[in-house]
Amino acid sequence: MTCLDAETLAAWFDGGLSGAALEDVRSHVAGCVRCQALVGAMGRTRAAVPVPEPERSPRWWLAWAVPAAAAATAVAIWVAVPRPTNVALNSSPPSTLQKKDAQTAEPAEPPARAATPALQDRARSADAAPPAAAPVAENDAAKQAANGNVNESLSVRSAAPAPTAAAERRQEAERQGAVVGQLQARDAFTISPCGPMWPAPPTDVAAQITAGSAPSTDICWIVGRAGTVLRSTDHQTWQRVNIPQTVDLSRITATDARTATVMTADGRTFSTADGGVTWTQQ
Amino acid sequence: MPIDAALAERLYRRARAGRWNVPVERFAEALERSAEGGANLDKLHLEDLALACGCAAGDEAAWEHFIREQRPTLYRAADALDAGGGARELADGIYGELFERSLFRYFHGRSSLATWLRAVLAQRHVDRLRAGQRLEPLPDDEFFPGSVGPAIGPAKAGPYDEEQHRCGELIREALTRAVAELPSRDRLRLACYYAQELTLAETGRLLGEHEASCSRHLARTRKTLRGHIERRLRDQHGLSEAEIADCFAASSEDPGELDLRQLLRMEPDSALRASSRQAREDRKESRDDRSTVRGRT
Repeated sequence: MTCLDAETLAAWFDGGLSGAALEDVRSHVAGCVRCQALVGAMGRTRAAVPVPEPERSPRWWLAWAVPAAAAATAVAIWVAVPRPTNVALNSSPPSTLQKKDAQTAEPAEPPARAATPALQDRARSADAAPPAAAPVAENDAAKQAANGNVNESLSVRSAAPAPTAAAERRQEAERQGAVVGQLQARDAFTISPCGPMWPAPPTDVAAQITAGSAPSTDICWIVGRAGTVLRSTDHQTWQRVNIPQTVDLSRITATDARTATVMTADGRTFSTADGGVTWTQQ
Repeated sequence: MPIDAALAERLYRRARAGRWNVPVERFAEALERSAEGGANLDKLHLEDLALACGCAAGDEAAWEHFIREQRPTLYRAADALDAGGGARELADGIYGELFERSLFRYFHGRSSLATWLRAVLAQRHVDRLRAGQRLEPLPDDEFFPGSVGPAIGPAKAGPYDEEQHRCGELIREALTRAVAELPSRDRLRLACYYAQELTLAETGRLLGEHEASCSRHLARTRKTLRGHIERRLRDQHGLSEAEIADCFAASSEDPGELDLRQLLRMEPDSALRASSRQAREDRKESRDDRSTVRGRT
């Protein structure tokens, strides 16, 4: 095979080759200094390409269907099975879960000594790349952290005595929330991510909700895709909170009805201290 | 290879080629050229192909769109290749050819226009550097990023340097042979990652594997190389395990001429020839050197 022309090189980089043509190219480049230099030059021009916005598949919502079904099942099982005592509920505090996840997400051990120093330099970064499962563990840890304050506050509250029937119902709902919060640890919520005692999110955004935070019994913030931020302070209605950018939001940590910090899917954080009237990027 | 009219029509609509006033027949011709080049029509970057057709046909809206969306990519790529502005004139040349419409003919839609522009620029940049290298040798760093010093350095004076140099030579010879004998896929992975400094994700994409797999394969190949070197030092040069360990330690301290990136830049055949030549020279001195190594350890 002759050296790669620009069109073939570009096709190789964009996954436009297959079969024998692809194998021919790989085999040739493995032994051709010039073509390896072309590959290197292509790599160096990577900065020229703006990072595209992540495209949403036309059936992106299907990805939610499985965890949503699983969450629904979890709720159903929890409701159907006789409930253990408060002590049992609190026996696995969220902090323990978070610690476990944090341990799972620790980076891999440093590599064994490489053959040469030239190898060693890059070997470090090669081996530092986490296995495929690691980011998932990290995400789970993040999600647990996002649910953590919900779980913690609910768990603490569930230990307190509640003599009246209304308070008992409320406590029961809170326990469900705590357990559901622990069971879910994923992106889909068939009920409010703050727990079942909160109203379901509005139908037009219900499928887009990704996380929630309940800093107290009477306050719940939830966030979702396309800049969705909602807050409830009465257990009945949701108020939409405007955020200046229409970005997918993946986490929220609220401390009260006015103060919250959201994280976007691409890792930026925005905070408000006035109930969402103004937001500041961190 | 004539394209079925219904298929051409369907792809034409999907490409939204009407935006650039490209006639269906002209778009079908472009599809035929792509098919002749081995492209899978279902996987073509159709919108970019339509834009290229529009530009080649002189459609003003297409050209404006191209200038707005693609021209910055070309110049950013030039700056990435040569921050000193040396690649800008190449980019100007490419832009001129695009303006004259002659170059668009070579775009078949198997990649995006942006990737193709980067590839055209990369090709001209590399060929210019290689041509310049033939006339007067360039500093290695300019052609290959991340290179560490000259291929052959002066031997250092000192009582232990001779031993160190000898270890370096032995390991270099064994490594050259080991790299040259690697399966081409492993060699390509090493070359992309270590010599050309692509990211794990990029390297994996070129080899059709996930970056985590790529990382594992790299680790396995390093282990293979080390095993190969150890075997060769033990079987061919008669070194003991302790001497081999000392050799590795000495080479780690001062790699000298030892650079995997340099080795990966050699054609496998020439690397093997060089390795054999080196081995012959080494054998002449091996007895004396072996005793020197043993004496030190």
